[in-house]
Amino acid sequence: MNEEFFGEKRTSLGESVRTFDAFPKTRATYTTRTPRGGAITLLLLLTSACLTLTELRNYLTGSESHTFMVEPGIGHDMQINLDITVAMPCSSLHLNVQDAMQDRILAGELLSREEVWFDDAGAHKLYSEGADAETERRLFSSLVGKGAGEGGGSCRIYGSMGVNRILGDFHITAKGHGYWEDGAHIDHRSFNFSHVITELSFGDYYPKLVNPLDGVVSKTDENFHKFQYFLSIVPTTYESQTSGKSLLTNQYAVTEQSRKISSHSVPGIYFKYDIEPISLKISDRRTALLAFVVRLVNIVSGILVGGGWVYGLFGTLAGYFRRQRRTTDGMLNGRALGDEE
Amino acid sequence: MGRGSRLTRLDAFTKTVEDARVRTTSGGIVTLVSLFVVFVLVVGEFREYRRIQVLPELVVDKTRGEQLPISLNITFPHIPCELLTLDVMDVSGEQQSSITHGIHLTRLTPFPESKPVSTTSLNVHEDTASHLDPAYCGKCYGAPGPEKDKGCCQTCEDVREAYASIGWAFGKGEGVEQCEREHYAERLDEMREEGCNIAGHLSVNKVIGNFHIAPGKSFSSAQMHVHDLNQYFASTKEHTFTHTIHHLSFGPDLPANVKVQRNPLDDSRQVTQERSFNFMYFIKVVSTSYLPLGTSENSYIPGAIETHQYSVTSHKRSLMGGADKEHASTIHARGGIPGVFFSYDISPMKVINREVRAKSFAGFLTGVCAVIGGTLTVAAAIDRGLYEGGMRVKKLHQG
Repeated sequence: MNEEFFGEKRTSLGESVRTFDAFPKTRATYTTRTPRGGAITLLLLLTSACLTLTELRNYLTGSESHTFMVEPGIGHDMQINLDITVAMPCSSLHLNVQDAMQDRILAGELLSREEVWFDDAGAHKLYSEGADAETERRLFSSLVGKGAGEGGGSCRIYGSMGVNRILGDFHITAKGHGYWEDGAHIDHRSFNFSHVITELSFGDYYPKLVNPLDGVVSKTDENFHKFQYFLSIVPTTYESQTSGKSLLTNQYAVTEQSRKISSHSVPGIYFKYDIEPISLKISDRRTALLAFVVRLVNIVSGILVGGGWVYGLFGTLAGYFRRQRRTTDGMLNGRALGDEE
Repeated sequence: MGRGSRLTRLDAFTKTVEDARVRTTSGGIVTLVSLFVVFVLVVGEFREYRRIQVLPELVVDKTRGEQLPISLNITFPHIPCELLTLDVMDVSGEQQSSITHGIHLTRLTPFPESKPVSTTSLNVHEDTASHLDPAYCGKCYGAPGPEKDKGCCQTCEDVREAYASIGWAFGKGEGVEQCEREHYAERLDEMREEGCNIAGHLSVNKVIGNFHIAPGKSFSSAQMHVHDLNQYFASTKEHTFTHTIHHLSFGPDLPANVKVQRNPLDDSRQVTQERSFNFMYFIKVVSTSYLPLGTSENSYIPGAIETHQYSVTSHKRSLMGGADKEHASTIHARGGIPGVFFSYDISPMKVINREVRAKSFAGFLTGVCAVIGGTLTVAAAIDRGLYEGGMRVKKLHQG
């Protein structure tokens, strides 16, 4: 067997295709291999392996892109999720939503209430340490452990409710103050609107969503104190391109204002929210497989060619300075002048 | 240049002498395949280079004193045009009552046919009382008459306007000479079954405000905006504010290549069976511009478009108030005016959609070089692998 091994049968087809070979190989007899060349090759291979790994990691992790648009579609409702503990008994609290439509939403009927002990330490820890099992257990026991009959003097209000998706005001006030209700008038000395917000969010839960009010504690010793939170709600769509799923939920920005008020005003906790017209879209994306492969090829070939060229250049320079003449080998083949020494 | 020249020594592309070269069929195949790959990739690069991207930017809207153009086209199948009024009010205190300029009311035949009525066949008013004595001066029945006619109410319409201006209910014009002569009451009754289409353009101040379509003439009374609802409720026919919004936009349309949802309210429909029912649309208007390729900050380009997008929330309630039928815990306010209200708010942000080339020419050249170089190098490596592998196998067989 000789040259025919590559299927180079002396047919006319093989002959004609062969003339296209743009990669003429040098016969083994004319090429040399040197230890230095081998070391360089190894180094280049290592480098490309490193870069390939980095690229692979980027490819697998994917990237996150943020875009925005004027919110499409016609909105109707929005969900408020709330978990708040107020240092007053449930029986004296009044929950209400009023909005730009002049609708009144009886939040008291939509949210659950239970008597608990006021414990701000647990809530704050829960916020700063995330899913810490110990604090969570402590908070849970401090909040739920006391039965409703026992009464802790504080009220935990929690649940979800649907509201109109427009400018609105959700507030917790004392019964008999602010609204004309046929309820009892509560003693002013029992007013204490200190509170712990365990959660306040709008719309569905998403792991990356950070609600700035979660775990916030506000305390007061005054009976007449007004806590106000001004919320700007930004509709946000989380989209995963790999799974093709998307979730429409809301983020919000908040400013807080609290002050002592006169006994003629209505004390309480007020959440005033408005919806921004521009919505965000956060999408997780991954480069296409083909693009990734092209990139890999680019990197590897770039390193090999570039490395070989630099190696060759060094050899050329070395030869030039020594004013020696040598027969040369093709640099693109990774062999250089100095190798033949 | 001789062999010893300095340039020769710097040659990074050393050539193998022709004798030492081997050409193989596998090499030929690899070459052809790699040329094909190069061709495909270069075509891809070229298309990427020619592609025009629309990149949205968000800036604070710094324009001042602009008017907000509104163009609308709404059909009410259960209310005659005679009863409908379009008003605009805004926070600057400006009011435009009973807008007719730029707005066309088209009478529609009774629902469900709802075809345009030929206006010549039945005209409610004769606009001018030309058949009358030139010295004729109609009474305004105690209301101040229009100034253009020296306080004379020449037509039934004039009397109605005069009544509305001081907040008197007009009714069907019984005992009013002008209206009886024009057979206003009879014609009104004839039109009871009809529907109405409101279409046209209006321009409002770019501040928070609302425009609404409500029944009856509107007037201001003690800082309150009031509509004369007398005829709407007096009717024996069941008028409702069921409506279809064919089109509602704030400025010209963006070109088709901008990927935004166009006017969200277009082709939306709201139905009610109740006479006293209020539809409310909360609209937030965002300024938007479209800058075609080659636009710079200060030069005017013919294709540039200044327009507005909007987001909307819709709500409805019965004027009777009370608990919502679907959401028992929602208590609606009582009272108000039946009609369709559009409450608009202006966003401080502006979206600029700018056309850009996805790649610069230099980027395109770099891409082409990368494609060619990368592909050929890889092909060379493959080919070399094949060649040397083959040699080894050959040696093995020989050995």
